[in-house]
Amino acid sequence: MKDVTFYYVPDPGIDKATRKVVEILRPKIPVRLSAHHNMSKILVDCLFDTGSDRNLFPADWGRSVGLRIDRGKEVKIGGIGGKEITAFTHQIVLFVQGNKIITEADFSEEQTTPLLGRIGFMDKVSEVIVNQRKKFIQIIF
Amino acid sequence: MYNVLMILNDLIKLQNKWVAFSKDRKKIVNKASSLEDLLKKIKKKEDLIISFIQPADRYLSP
Repeated sequence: MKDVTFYYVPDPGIDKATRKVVEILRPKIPVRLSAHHNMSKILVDCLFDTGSDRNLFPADWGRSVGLRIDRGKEVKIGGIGGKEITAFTHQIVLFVQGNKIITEADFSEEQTTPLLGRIGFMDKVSEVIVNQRKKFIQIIF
Repeated sequence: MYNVLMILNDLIKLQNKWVAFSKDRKKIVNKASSLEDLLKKIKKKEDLIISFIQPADRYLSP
């Protein structure tokens, strides 16, 4: 079995008391997207989100590999604050450090941060270990 | 020399933007307001990591 480890990635934050720039470490996984045999050359950071039911990606990313976003099955997705967004489901392939995951994702014009969720990501691998204290995610394929 | 704080001080100016990093994340290669615009700007796409920079003054619960 193969496994890969990703250490949390620093994002900038503002300390509310001192107004100084601080780091906020987030569990991001760089992913390559492929659809209809069009492979993206770039890696895009996706937030690993156990609270997300499914993978949710920005529509721009899907278009970059030739997906016609609104040709997918329309789904509604609820989230924080009760806000509902519209997305379209597509069959895709994800590559995580060369490891291939055949899956599907929902693409939305209203979503900015790419999210890797439980269905379509976590359930496609053998095991995911999140170590919040040591700030890493280990994915076992 | 790579300094996380230096990168963070650069990134704080790029909140709500898409940023292309070198594969080791030590260098900001390009930036744009949308992913589409960033992909148009980047000529050599290999070995880059693209990331959306969240607003720094709030917590993230997507």
